[in-house]
Amino acid sequence: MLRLRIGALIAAGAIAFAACSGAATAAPSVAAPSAAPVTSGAPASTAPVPSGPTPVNGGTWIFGSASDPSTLDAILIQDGESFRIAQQIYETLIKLKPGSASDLEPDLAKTWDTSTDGLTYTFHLQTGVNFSDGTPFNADAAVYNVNRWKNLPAALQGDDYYDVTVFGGYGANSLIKTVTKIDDATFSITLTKPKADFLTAMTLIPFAMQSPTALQAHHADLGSKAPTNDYWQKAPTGTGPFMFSEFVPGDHYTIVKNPNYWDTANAAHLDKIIFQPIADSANRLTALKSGTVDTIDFVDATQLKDISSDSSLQLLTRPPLDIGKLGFNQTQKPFNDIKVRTAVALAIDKNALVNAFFPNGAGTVADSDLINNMPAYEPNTGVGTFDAAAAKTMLQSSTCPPPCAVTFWYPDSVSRPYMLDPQNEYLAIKPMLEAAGFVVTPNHKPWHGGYLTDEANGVYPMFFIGWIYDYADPADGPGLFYATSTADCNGVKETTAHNCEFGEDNPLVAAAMAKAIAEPDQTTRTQDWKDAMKLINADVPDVPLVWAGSSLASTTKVHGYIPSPTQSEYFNLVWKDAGS
Amino acid sequence: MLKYIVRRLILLVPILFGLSLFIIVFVHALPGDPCSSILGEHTSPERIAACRHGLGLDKPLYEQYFDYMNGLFHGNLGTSATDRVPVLTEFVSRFPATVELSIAAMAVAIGLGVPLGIAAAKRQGSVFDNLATVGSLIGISIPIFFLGLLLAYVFGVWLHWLPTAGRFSLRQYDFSHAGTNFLLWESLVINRNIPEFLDVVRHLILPAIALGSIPLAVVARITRSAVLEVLNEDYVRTARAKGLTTRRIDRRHVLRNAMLPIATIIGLQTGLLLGGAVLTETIFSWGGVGSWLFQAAVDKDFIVIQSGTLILATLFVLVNLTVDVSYAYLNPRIRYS
Repeated sequence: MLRLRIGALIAAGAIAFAACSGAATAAPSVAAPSAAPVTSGAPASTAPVPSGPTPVNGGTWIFGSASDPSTLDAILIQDGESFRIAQQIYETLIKLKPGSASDLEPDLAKTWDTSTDGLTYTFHLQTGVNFSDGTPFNADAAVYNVNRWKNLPAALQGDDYYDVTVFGGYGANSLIKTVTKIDDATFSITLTKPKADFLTAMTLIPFAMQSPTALQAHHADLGSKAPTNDYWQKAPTGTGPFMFSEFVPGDHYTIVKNPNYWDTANAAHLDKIIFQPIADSANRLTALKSGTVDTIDFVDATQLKDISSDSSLQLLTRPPLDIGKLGFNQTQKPFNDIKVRTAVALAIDKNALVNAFFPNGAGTVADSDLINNMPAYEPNTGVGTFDAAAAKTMLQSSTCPPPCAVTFWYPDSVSRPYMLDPQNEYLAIKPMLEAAGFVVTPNHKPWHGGYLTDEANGVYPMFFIGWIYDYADPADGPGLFYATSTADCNGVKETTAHNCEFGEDNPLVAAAMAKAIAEPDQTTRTQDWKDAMKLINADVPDVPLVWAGSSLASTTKVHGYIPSPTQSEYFNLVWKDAGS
Repeated sequence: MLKYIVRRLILLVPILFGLSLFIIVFVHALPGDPCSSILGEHTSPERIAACRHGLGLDKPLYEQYFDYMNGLFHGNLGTSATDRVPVLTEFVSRFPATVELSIAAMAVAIGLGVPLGIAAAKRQGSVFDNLATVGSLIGISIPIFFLGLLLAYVFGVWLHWLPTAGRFSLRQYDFSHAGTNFLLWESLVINRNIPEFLDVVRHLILPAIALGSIPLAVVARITRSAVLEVLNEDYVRTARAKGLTTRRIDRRHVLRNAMLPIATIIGLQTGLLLGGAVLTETIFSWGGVGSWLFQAAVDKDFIVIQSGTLILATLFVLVNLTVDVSYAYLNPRIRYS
């Protein structure tokens, strides 16, 4: 869940009214020191060649972002703006191929091996790499970083998101069992149980390598409340093509070219990048058009046409990796009846909805929690397409025949990429449901004013929700949505495993997902996810509405920008026209 | 005078206590907490509970209050739950931007509002007076976001005369050395760089006009009515009868006596502007206190809201105290004890 600083998006409303394959290319690996390797990463770090004219070196690029970064201590990062900057100053062991959501490439690890039991990953590191503070990146530094993830200092626990999400907890509760240095350029990570998306998860910038010396010198492990901890504001230190220069909160964040970058073939073209936070999308476009900034992110769907028609601007569109949907809680009446859920699914004219709220190609009609560019995606033919008459017939045969009273929850004070205008989207769906025989009672809460918390606790019977994938793997989507919990859901203590949010407690679904999540073989795994998705879709836990992407706009003087569905965008590839 | 100032400062303590209590109760009465902002969609009840525990939000409100006050007494204003930056650090970093914008906006308001009000009063009932009255009504009525966007479009996008975002040309200048974040001061006094100073001024023009529009209208109206009132006083008539020149009467008798309400309104407006101008700072991407507190309110970042508000309340009281003290200088007949 690449978090967006929604305040920036809300600001628009306030003003109107007050974001690899381990397989990569199979290549011989150095001898695996532990278990027999089954998968090996490619040694070739190919320099992506941007299309067009020869890149020009030098210049300053001003990027109009939506907000300041929240932190640049990599393991604590969870928001998109922090991801963006961290992506330029830090590097991971493995990275996503530019523009791809799932193809892996070597980064700080030249190659990697996976043991036959899928538990031990051995990384063979690049040599001659230094952090921007001059200290060496080697197996000791890598082991230090991985141990920091596993044993996250107490003062930082809870400030992280991806550490717990990917590894499940800290210390003995972490999926990481051991981290072992083999030699100066080789180390291994052993997991407590197989996790097939482990290598893909390693592309996430929170799992980037940071300088142990800088972390210690700036007291990063003392936590955010320690006055001596100024690591991310003053000395975030990685091995990337850019390095930290200056941070003035609310005004700008500056990074400069790393003159000693190890991968000379991929050294940065630009001398300097300045990130200028401009909260409101309309103001970002104004700043772009007035020449204050060179590039802006998170263009509104309504601005796409205007930008496309401006010859001085170019539109950079990320392939969709967001899903917006209408969820049900199957433990609440009348949605405990699959016929009622199916009736809702049949009643909604998704085409009309997407055309109205995601114009100019900002969204595509969705039929699955998986995005249609994921390998495991298959068209969901279970419910069928919009059919008002069939919806009415289905409802009549259900335990809640017309007039069937339902409560529809939508959030206010929010605009998400997959849910741009929740209230009006609700108003568009309401008559569709009424035509099928539902009597709809609306209810709403502010997104951060209780909506998300209540929704997670299973309070809502029918609700808008969505997801921004971190990488194109079902484990990062349905693998999270329908996970079970033994917690206290909505004040009711559960004694057996229970899914609070959707009440999706089908043991067949849980078993199929567990198998898919643990399967190390990519082909088998893809099939496992297809099987799991068939089971999930058959339960109709939600109505997928839209697959949405996002767009950037830039002057035509900027080149080499490769939009990524996961926002894994590498600015060392970017260059500007001479003198611009 | 000193006794008066000390008494006012001592009175600040119960005011801030009351305010801290009010703010914490009010903020916690709002639905939601920072955890939804931190955890996002599809989180689990366990993680929500762990987050709330980590932030101390699972404690009774009175305990949270005492923990907070305990921190305050030890000089700790707390740390942002979402950005993990100490409140004081962020405030110190952003406040200079707000101060410069407030001063520029008040310069617009006073520089135009006072002369406009005086001229309108002296031409009471004339076309100019009516235009000034209508103009100040429009100034008060026009929403800042509309004026701001209009100014940005006309002078930024259309005419390309003035910048529409930020405090200086990031492409050209570097303010990383002195680190005061008072850019007017740094460019003019420390760097002694006139082009740099003029660049900062150019960036101030549009937000200052947008932010200063309402104070301008208010100051003009108050000035007009204050001057009118004084113009009808006996001593002015007497001064005229004595044959004093109009300029001398205006300077020695009219303006000096009319300054009290004008100073009061200028103080109040300055205090309000120092509280941050959410809309103006958002429209012109001005990294000040207003946009920071707005984001904190959206994220339900309780500590930032509480401490930020307390700091601003303190500043507001201090500004108004300064205004009260200035009365004695504006009018020697006023004595404080």
